[in-house]
Amino acid sequence: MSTAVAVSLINAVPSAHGLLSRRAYFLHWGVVQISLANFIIIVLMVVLFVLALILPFPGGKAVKSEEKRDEQ
Amino acid sequence: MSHDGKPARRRRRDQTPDAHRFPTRPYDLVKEFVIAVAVVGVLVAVLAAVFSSPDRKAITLENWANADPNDVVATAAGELAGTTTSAGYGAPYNRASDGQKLGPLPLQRWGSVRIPIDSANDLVIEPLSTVTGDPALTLALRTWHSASPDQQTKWAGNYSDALTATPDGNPSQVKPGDYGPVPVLAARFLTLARTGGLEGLLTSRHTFYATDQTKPLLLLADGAYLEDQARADHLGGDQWGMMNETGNYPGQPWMWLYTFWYQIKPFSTSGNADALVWALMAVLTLGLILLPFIPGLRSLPRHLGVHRLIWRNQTPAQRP
Amino acid sequence: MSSEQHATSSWTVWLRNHIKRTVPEGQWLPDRQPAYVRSWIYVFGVATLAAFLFVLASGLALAVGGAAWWHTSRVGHFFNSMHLWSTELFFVFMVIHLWGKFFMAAWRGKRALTWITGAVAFVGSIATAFTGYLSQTNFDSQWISTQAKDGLNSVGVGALFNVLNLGQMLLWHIVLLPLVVGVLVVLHVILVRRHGVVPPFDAQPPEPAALAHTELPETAMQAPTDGADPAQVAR
Repeated sequence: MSTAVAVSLINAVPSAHGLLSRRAYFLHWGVVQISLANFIIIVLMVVLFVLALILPFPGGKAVKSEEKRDEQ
Repeated sequence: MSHDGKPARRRRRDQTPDAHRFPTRPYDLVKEFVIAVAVVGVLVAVLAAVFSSPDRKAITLENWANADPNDVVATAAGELAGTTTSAGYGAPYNRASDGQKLGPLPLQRWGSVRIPIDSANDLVIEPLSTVTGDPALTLALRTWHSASPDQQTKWAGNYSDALTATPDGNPSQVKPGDYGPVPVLAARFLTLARTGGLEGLLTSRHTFYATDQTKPLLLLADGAYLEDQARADHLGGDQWGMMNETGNYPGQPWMWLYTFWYQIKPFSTSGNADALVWALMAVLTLGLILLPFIPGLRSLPRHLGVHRLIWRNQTPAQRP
Repeated sequence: MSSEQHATSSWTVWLRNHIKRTVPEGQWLPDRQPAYVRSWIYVFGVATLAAFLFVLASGLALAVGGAAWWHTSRVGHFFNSMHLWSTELFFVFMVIHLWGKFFMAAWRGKRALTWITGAVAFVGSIATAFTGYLSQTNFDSQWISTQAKDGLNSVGVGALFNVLNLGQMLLWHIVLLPLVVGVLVVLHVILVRRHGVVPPFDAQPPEPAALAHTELPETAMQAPTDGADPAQVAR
């Protein structure tokens, strides 16, 4: 399987107004073809997931040691 | 030890303690929810304003006729010959084929013919029959109706082959042959499509209100033009098209596994690909849903250790 | 008369008690949560919920103008764009939420049904999004419907669920499927409130006698568990 990633530009028929309506970019890697937009979304998701795991979460220090009946 | 000699802990029931017995800290759920709504709301509004959404206009049958007239003629001839996709589809439209099987199970045929469509008559002959003031067409239709089914198939098959033999399916370059009324019927079908009224004839002629586009969609999909347009946008089945959207928009990344199977053997070369992929995905989806009950898989998270990142700030008593 | 004495004769009392028992007292809207819930991964559930609300709201707006409104109106098109992007965010957040819950083995401790309702909601959301694409009344709808019909027809259900029939697909998209997803989401959230957030692997709560301050004594660890026991499916 080729390890080269080829980016191909497809001159798609312009659909609607908007930044994303014109040419579509695709990434090729062996049997895998993925649009640049989808690729970016997946990468963003993985980045978000990793950040969510490693970034510290602000937390209160007051820890009550027993379950309280909290509803007033 | 349990009765089969295995260590007792393997057979012990889930001993996860009640979450309500753990030390707690203050947390404002309502505030969290309001913040989430506000943040997501701003995100949605900004994304919508900046990137908008795709709206590639539908291909009308008139568009099709003007953009690729040869394809319309070839499709009409194919419908009459019974060689188009819809004509040879099988259930739910007709009995022309058994359709796809899952191993020995003819699932498609079991679906039975619940949307009966006779491609030649419903998609071509019936709409043409509404045209008046065209003596040549009226004669062609009479000739067609008075011929035997075998004769009809022979004429239309000959004409389809003859069209294919020309450089780009051009009817004017077809060699003389035994085509009966088919060339006239196909040419008049193109004319009818160009009027813009063909969708109406196919969907609402007898009912007024059109809410079901089955017939015009089958007709359009029998031609090559729709697929040509789709493939240009990387929407074809073997192009991972299920994941994609027109233009540069994000599509459906969550369909990655469903469309993946179509790209590889044995699915990519199988006539039963749809049934096979559907069955495989049904099994995998069931596996996802019933994950808590699948030994081995349900123990994977513990061994993978990602949880140590999530719970790294636990007090010593709480840490494993 | 006590509740128990009423229970055999009063359906109302039975239902009231059943509701009370569904979630522990004080846990419908608690203002405290377990101390081990302290990671950004935990916000993706509520983020999914927030995105879902915008999907519904933008969908309502689109319904006001009708199925083809967005093709000819800039306002309609903007609501369509909000509908698209809230759906994209909905799936992004939901999948990250799923990843997190998987790595936590969040089905432990009688939470199998929480996992199941979530997973089925995921599948239901895909079906809802799919019928949404079919309802666009544009080129996308034409292509997606003519392709998808082959998958459904191949297993014999294409006539019952005719993707070429806009009248049917639109109604599944705006009525039937959102109801299914909505009910699943409500059940899912009730189950989370009922069982609380799953504790870390092998975590043990401190003994009741020894507490009053934040410093907690070491307690003996029990043997590791092996995930959910099928017999322990939550009520």
